[in-house]
Amino acid sequence: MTTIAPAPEMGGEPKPQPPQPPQVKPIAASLGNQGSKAERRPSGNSFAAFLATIGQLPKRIFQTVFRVVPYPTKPGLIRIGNPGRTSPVLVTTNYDLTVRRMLRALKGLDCYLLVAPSAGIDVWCAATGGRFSIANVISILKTSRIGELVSHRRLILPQLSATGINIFELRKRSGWSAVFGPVRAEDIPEYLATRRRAESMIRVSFTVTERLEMATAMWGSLCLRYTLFPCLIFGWGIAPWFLVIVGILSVGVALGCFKLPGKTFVQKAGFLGLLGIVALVATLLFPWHPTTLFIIKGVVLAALASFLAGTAFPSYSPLWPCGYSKLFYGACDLRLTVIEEQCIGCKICDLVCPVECFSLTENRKMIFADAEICVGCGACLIQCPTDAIINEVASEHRIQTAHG
Amino acid sequence: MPYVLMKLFEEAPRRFDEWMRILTLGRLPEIREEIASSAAAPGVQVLEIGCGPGTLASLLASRGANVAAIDSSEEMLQEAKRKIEGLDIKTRVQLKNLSAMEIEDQFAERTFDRVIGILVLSELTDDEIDYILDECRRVLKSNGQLFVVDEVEPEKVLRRWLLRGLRCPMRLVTFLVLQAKDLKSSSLWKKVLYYVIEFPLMLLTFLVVPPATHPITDLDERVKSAGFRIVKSKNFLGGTLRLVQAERPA
Repeated sequence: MTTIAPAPEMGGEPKPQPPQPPQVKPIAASLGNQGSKAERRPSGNSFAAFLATIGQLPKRIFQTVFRVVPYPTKPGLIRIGNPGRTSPVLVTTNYDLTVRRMLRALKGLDCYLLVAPSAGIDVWCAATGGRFSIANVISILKTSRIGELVSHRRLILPQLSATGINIFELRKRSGWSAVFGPVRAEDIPEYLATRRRAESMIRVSFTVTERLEMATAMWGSLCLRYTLFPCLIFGWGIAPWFLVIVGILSVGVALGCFKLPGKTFVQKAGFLGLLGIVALVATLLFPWHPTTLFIIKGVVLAALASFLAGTAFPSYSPLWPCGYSKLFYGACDLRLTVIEEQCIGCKICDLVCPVECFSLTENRKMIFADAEICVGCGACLIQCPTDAIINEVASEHRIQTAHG
Repeated sequence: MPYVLMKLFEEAPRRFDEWMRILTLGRLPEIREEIASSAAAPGVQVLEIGCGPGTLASLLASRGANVAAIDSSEEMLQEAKRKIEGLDIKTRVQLKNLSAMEIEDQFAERTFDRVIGILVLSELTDDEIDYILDECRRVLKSNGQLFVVDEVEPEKVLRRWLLRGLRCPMRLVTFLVLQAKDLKSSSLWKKVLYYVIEFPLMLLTFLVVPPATHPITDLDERVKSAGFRIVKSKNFLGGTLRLVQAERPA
């Protein structure tokens, strides 16, 4: 991981503060100054940067393994580069990782970034769970006094906030009009340059890197949640084995989510688990093999881990609806229909859809074309200005979070 | 007292007042009376921020004041409406579903003679508190008065640590109970299963995420730096609850 180089000033603060923990800097600086000769300065500085990176490491590891745990950073206004009265104003949530990625993506641009208070949760989850709502946007608009800094009244919201922020309502309540920017922070520079969202900026991706990231997060939370249970049966010695097996299955399911045989993810993970079990039992054919107890333990662990990884995986993907919310929150399936008479063909449903459920008919009306790929995020239901989209399963729709 | 428990009772507007009375060891009704007697008079324009179930608003109105009472919770406002419905003070109370952050959009400068906020600031971020105090001054007329009651850190060191020690388990209880907020429709076994599965993650989240409410530090200083002149400050409950009465200079 690289460090964020720009040290943006936090708005409304008497002293400008860099986003890094302040205690890291003095130590690094004093160590860097040990080489007192002028020509050693540059290497001293990079050494300081290196130490700062090391200092960040525990936080980075925590945020990678326990990705599902909120990690708040201070809400506020961040000036990127040298913004002026016409510079764009972007909004995001105060999840530490989100802000860091935004800063990295926005490097070299001139704009304002509003970090809204949202309980330290990422954009998609916070918006869906009601923690990144119009009230939160209004809060940051007011406390940052951004209205005095720019001459326009136009916000760029992250597209995935569409599950919680109705832009028509926002405009009515705050006087700021809003457009949805790209899903990913990396696409923002191109979006700001062209002011156009390409198809790839609108839809969520699930690349190998992203899948590995989510596999790590899933591994972290599965281990934290469930390690106790096999230990209660087999004793604490089994814990390392459980961690390893859950790790292998998490990565396996994530990498093979499109390719593995099976309809559900429990079947897909079960397939992987079965391979392991077969291999373990097959060792009995050889003259030297582990003890029977070891094999029994292995079989139980593999079965348990593949069940856990299979049930949890959809919650860690942007493409499949979360099973947890269905079980616990009573969230229902979304089976959407567009009422043709009410549709005005504004296409906002398509523009906020993270997959590609909607298509335009010949008479310029939208239809919900692909129910198979719908992640059930509910963005279209929230945004539709004429309430033309209804959920056939339940009249009162309850959003099923696609993201944990 | 750790008012962090208040977050729990906000879920039940009907019994909110009763719980708050217990939580403040019976002092809150007393404080309300005190504010009402010094703030309200016939014809006085009052803004109450975070009116909850409307208890203070009806007290003020019964003394002849015209009250604009705002709250961001629709359920609370329903309860307040139920309370004042049928009373002759009805015409003097105007209820509005509005968050404290939106005062600026709804009320013009120098509209009110009194602005009152009881246990609202502690639920906000530091920036929000400063912004709202500023707004309170803006909407007040010259020599208009602000009444703030909120949880503060006691000045005495021993008491401060006692409060912190008391807050911690209360915070945990509040946090854990609120986790089940969205599970209302689930059956008991699902709730139990949910807690068994989620407990370690809940605990981790609890350690990382700051509390929903926090005692305010330097309440008097902050009121002053928003441009007020302090008229009176008073501590309750061993210095954990503080009433600040301040005036907008002419």
